[in-house]
Amino acid sequence: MTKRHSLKKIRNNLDYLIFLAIPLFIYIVILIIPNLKIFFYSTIKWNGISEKYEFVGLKNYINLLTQDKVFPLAFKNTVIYTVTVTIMQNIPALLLAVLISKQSKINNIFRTLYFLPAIFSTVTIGFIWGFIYDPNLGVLNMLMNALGLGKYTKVWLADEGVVMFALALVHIWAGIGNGMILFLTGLKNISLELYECADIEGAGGWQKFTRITLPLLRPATIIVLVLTTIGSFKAFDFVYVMTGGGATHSSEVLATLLYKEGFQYNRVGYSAAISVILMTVIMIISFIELKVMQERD
Amino acid sequence: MKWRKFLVVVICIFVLMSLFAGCGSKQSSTNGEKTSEPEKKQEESTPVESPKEPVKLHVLTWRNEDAEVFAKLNKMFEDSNPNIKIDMQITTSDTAEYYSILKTRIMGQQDLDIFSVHPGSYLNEYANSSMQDITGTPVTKDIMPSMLEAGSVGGKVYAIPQAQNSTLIFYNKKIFEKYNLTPPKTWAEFLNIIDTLNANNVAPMSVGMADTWTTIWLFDNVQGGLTDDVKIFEKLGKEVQFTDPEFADVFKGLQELGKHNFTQKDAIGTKYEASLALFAQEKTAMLDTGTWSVGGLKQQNPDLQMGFFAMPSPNDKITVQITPAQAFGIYNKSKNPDEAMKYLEFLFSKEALEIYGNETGQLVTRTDVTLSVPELNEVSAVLSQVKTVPQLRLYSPNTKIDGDILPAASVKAILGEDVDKIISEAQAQLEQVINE
Repeated sequence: MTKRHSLKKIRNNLDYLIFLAIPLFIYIVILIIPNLKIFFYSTIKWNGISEKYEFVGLKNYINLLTQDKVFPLAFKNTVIYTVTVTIMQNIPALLLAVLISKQSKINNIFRTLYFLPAIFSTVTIGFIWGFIYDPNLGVLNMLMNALGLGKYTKVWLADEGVVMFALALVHIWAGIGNGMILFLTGLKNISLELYECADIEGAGGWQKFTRITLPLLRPATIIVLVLTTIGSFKAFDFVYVMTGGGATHSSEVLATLLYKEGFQYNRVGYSAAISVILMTVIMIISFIELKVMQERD
Repeated sequence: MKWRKFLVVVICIFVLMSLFAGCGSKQSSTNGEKTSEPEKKQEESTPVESPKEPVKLHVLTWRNEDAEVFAKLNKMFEDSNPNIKIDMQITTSDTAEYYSILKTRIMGQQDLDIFSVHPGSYLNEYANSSMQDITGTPVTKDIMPSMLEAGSVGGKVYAIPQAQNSTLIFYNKKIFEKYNLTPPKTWAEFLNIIDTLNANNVAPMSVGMADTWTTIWLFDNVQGGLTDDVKIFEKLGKEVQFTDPEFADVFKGLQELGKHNFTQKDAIGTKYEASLALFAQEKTAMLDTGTWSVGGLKQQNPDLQMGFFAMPSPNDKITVQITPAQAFGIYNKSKNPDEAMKYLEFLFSKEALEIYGNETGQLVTRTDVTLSVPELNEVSAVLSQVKTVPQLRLYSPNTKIDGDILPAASVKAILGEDVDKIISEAQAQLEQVINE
């Protein structure tokens, strides 16, 4: 009886299963298998060009975690970058979304303006900001000097104390539009009647924001938080274009480190071990974020 | 409901058929039009002889400052070989960027016929696995023996350096004249020049430390006179360690330079290209680079009056390291090895190397080429007065040593970090790399 029932169930859902089979097959071949291969690569010593390789087990991981002086620095920099971007990008993105959520012509212009950086190529943005930050020819230091703030000027992309924040600022500038659009979508799903009821009951702007907008934006917030965390944890393009991880690794992040180890220094196995760690950390953080937010729901 | 299922099955069959059709039928491309195998067979049976398909050679190199001269040479080659087209991709000089592109091409088995490598540890990595053995072929005939050696691994020639450069200090003649300065013969004289320039508010030397790797030439220059062992890098990690005086003294020398503020302001935030521009714009009095920069600097400022001198080491000895540059070789899985060899023969012909040397201001690697670049005469005069050795790092056992460990340690020394700490960190990294 059960067997017949399940067969019938399969037959009824056959069209869905067939439709799902093709993308699933492509997904497995293009994404899952290469990702699983990374685990294998992380256990070998291979220069990436030779046909020969040597199985070294967990040696790459052990070296990475016990001997490598750059890995802890890159990890720390990645965490600083991620925390800065996640907080400093999403709070303003939420505020901007709330401010320009009402339909009007001027708000449409603002939405376009705020979203504009998101459509530029990240390499172009990196180059432009690289020039802005340049200590000798850059606009930022010139402007600060002109405003009498000369004593606060810095070598923005080489000063260990500020470089990660300078890089994160560029990420925030480029990504704030994306967060704003996702929050705007969430805001559209909140019924206006709730605000009308709140108005009738005499609630103020702050109360409406904290009691209605924020709780009902939770699904959008989860998506934005998870996407920003993943995006900034594996940040590569801005860092690579503007500093290349230098000077002397002061702005090295995990993605630039694994790129250099794999492609420049031909240590593919070692590089794969870094990427496995990066992937694991991202999965753990994303899982925790989802759990915490869902529990609050 | 039944018609819907039927429709779904039909669509899926079509999708799968198109996928299999794409994989199954071998296609060949002629003049941009694709013909499937049966059609091709039909075409082959017809008596009309179709014109021979032009061969496209894919060449990869990093000398973007030589893009114009390469375009000129490629056109010359194409004009005399109408059936061969050259598709040359030129990246920036950033080794990370260049080797990532090269490796992606090799790993992805993409189109590649000829590529250049840095002689030394990079060549060692690529020679056996990815380059064709060209020992004894006609292309090697008139190349300087020392340059053939630089392009060899295990006694076999895999690549030929196009130019031979030397890392020297370039100086602005006008600025030097203004402050009555002459090229130094001793370390103390060199430090005195730096102090004089600083006292007159002139930035002594352009250094692009933001890129880190650029400081490797400073390392080379300081190390030059400090060691007589030309195979010191070959022994690294075995008989020789970073903790030995030969290396420790180099970092101490770099630290002393740092104490004398030998760079422009904010050198740590300046990129390599910007450091060249500062010298070309006459905003700095000296530049630590190699003769590969002569052409580019002249292009940026044709009125720039450059002079050259070899940097004295802290022990007052002067030794200049001769660097074989961009060595070209043939990819061992090239689909067009004969045409690739033809191009290589052209690139290393007397005529092509004369053009290349004259237009880029670099000494080339053929024995029978004479160049008419005034700056190169000056360089030759400088080199004739000092001891020259092949670049010591040619024998470096690992790309990470000269690509990362030494440049990073050099920057730290210049910035004034404790030399003992720098050495112990570099030694730990060396041991990690060697023990792997």
